[in-house]
Amino acid sequence: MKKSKAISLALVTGLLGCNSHPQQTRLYLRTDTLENYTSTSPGYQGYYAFRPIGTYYSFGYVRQGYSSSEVHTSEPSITRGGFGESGGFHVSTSS
Amino acid sequence: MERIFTKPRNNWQQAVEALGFGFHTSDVAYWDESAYYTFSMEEITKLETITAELWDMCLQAVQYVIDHNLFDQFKIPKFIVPHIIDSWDNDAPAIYGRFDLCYDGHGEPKLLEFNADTPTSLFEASIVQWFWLKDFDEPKDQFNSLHEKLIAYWKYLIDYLYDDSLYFTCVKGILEDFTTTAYLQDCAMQAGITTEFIYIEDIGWDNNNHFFVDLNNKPIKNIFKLYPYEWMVNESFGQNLIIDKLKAIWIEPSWKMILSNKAILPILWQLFPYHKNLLPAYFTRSNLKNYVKKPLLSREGANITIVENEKLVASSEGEYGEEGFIFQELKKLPDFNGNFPVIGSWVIGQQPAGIGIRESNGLITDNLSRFIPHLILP
Repeated sequence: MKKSKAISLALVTGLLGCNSHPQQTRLYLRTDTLENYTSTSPGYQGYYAFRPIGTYYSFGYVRQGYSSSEVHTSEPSITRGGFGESGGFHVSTSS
Repeated sequence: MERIFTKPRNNWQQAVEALGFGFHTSDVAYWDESAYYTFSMEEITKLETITAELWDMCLQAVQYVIDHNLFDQFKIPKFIVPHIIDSWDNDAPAIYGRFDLCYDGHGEPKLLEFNADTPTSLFEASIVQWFWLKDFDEPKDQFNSLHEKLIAYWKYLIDYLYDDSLYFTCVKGILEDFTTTAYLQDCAMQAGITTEFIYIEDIGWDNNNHFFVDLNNKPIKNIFKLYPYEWMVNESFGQNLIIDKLKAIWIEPSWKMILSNKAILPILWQLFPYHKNLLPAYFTRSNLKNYVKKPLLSREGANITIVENEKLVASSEGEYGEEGFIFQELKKLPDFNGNFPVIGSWVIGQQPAGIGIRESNGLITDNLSRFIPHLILP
């Protein structure tokens, strides 16, 4: 027997899955606060501070990413943005 | 190995979206269940055995590169070499890799390349095609124990991590990368690991204490990244990897920079000449008449040149190649009525764990390739 016997997803379908209304935008909120991304402990299906971005196609809504630009903290000794500068590229399927 | 046309499930889009698979279609279909591949158990056993053997050979090759200080051939920046060696000597945790194989069910599969640092298409291979088979023909088998092996290996790795949260990170705005990262985080959570997510752009550097921090300015000690080292080392925080006082554990470890570089292909051929699953590969064209010229670092089939009998057969554009190229003997992808599949064979931890098949319309598997499910015939 080669295949997994059973599969359950605790996080992915909670974040990204949509069972009945794909055209509805789902907001994973808290973008109006300075609190940060929700901690995800085992078994917890929490919200992320993400705002989905996407496009409507004839068959429904396709999410293309998430924005979290509202989330930030300021601390003089902390520098951010030093990784992820290779803009225009993404890891993608063939990598 | 055969390619079978079939009728897609009714409302297949909704079925895969319910799983969290939101990038099934871009300009063209990426997930394509209008066909599937069948394999015999003998063929699958061969793929499994070869994957284990290739993985073992790759580990020997890493040791060889380190022992002989061949980093220049890989164009790896000097400053990161000690980090690479430390990660290797300390057996830093690695979770996965994907061998791309050329195979048509006859003869020996041949290694085209190894995606060792940021292999994606994992979610499609592990989850989407598993649920496809469940709907399509549940009693049939599939070479796919990715999910249970991922959870099992995360459990195994707990003892190798610092006693702290494991962060997961990828770049903002790319659903495909986010899905893969969230899936791996999902598996880690199911393994009992406390996890957090942070976009790679949001990672901070504490200039006073010299360590990486999250958005709460809390130190990051364990972190999985779906972001290539060759980009990281050239970015503003790249040098911080080596001065990090906490010596954060990065997964994949930096020694994967050796295996994710196409320069590993000539090294493997040098170490295991005429191995039945390798293609001749060199740092120069050598005496090859039919060959593929590949950049040391390239993605999505970019900057590939295919030459046959001195004539250009196919080429792709892109922005890679600055670091140099390798030359690999041409092994044409099998042609299933105009569909050219590459078999991605996964290693999870130290074990073969399943396959995913990407098809293209030509000899170069590019970013317009499509994912086709498979099953094993009894």
